[in-house]
Amino acid sequence: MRSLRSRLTLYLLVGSGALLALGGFFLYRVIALRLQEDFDQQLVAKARSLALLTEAAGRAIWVELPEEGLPEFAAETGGEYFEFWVPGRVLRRSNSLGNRDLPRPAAVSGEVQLWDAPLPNGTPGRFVLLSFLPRIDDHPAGEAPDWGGVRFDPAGPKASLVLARGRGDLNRFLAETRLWLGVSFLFLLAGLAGLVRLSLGLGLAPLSRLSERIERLDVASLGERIDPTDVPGEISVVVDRINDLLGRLETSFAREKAYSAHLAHELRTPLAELRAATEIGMRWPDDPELVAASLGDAKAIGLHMERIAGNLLALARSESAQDPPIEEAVPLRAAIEEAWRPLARPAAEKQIELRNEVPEGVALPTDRAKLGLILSNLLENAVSHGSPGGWVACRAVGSNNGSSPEEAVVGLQVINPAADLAPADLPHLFDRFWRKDGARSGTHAGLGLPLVASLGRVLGLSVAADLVAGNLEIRLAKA
Amino acid sequence: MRLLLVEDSQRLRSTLERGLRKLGHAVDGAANGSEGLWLATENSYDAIVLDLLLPEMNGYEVLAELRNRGKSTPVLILSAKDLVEDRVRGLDLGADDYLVKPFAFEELVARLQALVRRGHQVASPTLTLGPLSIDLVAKRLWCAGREVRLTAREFGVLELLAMRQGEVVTRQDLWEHLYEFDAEASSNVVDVLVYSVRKKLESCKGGHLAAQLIQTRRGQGYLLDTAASEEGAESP
Repeated sequence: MRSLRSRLTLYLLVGSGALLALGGFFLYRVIALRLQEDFDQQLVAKARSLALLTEAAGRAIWVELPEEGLPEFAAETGGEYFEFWVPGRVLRRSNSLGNRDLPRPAAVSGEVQLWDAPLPNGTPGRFVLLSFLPRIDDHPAGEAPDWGGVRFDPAGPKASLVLARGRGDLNRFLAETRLWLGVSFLFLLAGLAGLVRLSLGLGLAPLSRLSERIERLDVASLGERIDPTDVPGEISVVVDRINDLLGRLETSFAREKAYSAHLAHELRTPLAELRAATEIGMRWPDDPELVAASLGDAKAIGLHMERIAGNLLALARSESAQDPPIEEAVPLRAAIEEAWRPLARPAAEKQIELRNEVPEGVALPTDRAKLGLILSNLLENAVSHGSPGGWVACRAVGSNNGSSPEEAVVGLQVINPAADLAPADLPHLFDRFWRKDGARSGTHAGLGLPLVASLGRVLGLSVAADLVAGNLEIRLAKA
Repeated sequence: MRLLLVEDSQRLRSTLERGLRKLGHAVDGAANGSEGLWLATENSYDAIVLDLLLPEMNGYEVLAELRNRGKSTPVLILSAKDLVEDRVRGLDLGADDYLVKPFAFEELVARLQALVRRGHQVASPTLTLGPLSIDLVAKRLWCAGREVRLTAREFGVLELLAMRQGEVVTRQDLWEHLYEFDAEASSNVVDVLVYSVRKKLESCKGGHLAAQLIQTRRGQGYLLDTAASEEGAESP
């Protein structure tokens, strides 16, 4: 892939080169036209001067031209030629022409005609044809002069002069002009190329430094950030975004690392329990009481691991959005009672009371199964961590944060006493595998509340936890 | 031997207690760091098995506090934390061994026995005392080349006396070596066990001399002394 610098260099050079070439071409054209015009004006002026030397009197017409005073016509080396003629007869040729004739256009049109053609000596020349009325000395009034048998008629054919001059100097000058313009173009282009490279090098230096800095980034340097002070305004947004991204990546990596460590730890404890239970049971196979206890432990451990795997799977499904929610009006009170049913026995053992404060007939538009999973986890959490003789309350959350029947129900709230929790614990409540004391003593793996948060996100419910007067309040409501 | 097991996983704790008791050890269990520290401070254990992630006080804190209080009881850390820095930290704080979960029960037992032997400065797992040969690992006793079958508690008595040979072991020490913290103390249970061991030793060839290895020091306790046995052998 070509670099940005190479691309910009190419584009700028091609663009500048095209502009220079175009400018050079127009400049040359202006110079060439102007010189040609001057050349032609001089040629025509000289032709007119020569034409004034033509006189007619009676039947005679002649050219009063003292060639001694015009050395350019004296010999072929003079480089200029002329030829006068009237219809049917040549009046006069320059000495440089000898007996030859100058080329004439097939049809004479207008007073002055200019064209390029080789001179009699073979060099490039410029020709002018001038049609004119010669100066008439005297002739009887009303009588037309007769030129060698041809009656002179002022309205009829006129005398003609062809004057030719070599244009070698002009051509050479134009060629030199072209050459110098071309050389100048190349020099300018080369200079421009250097200037462009230098400017781009200086201008793109912060980008190069940024590129090198980004190239050096790896997993080990996720904690580092790109210094935004030396960055041009145009890419400061990019740097800000990269720094944000690095921050998020660092957090994700740390979370991933912690997750793996937690998961390994979470599985090691039941595995250690399972291995110890089976080894001890197998060591004393003739002790039925010990074998039975070991088998009982093995089963309990299996169920515990099954619950961990189930929660992890549910969490993974929820986070990968494999199972999109199917919304329906879910009767909230009935859903709470259904989620409470399997917990009724352990709750009764701890004398924990359910206070279902959701009125009959209140429905929450959401996914029934996912809401059930949320309620199960929240209620199980409350029962598992609740002190004996405690309670767990469920309330509907209205659109105005109240619970009046006029309000639309947008969520629910689960409240239970949590004397062990401190405000500092709240930010960690929804972290995977988090437990208050970091121990693995309970039957919970610290996945219930993260699953609630994840399912809440899937259902478009914002999940928040708060400690109010020693009670943990978990609130799920549509944003 | 008497062990303290500080482990917050109730299932693992009860399983290990079951297995270790079955091997004849007295095991006290603690479910959190505070309780473990209190038990370790208040009682004399041959070894402590200590988890690291514990409620209330973590294992590192328990260990550091234990050593601060001058307790030199051998400590084996039993944890799922397997990073080198975790092990180094534990050993630096005064642990004597580190075993990562999951583990083999046999390995745990072997490491605990090695720790206890080291605590009593007994290098070999087999002790030879006069006609007696005691395998501390297999928990077996030979007297004059013939195996003598002892119960777990009887072996525990002999084991402690053998590891502290030449030293008077009080009845209280023997009691604590054999029974858990919450066992109901009986005034003569140690005497009965010592009597039972002597009786079984007498039954072997040359057993009289073997039984004399265990001497009673009135008002003090018991002493396993091979020199006394040799003197007895020389006297008519």
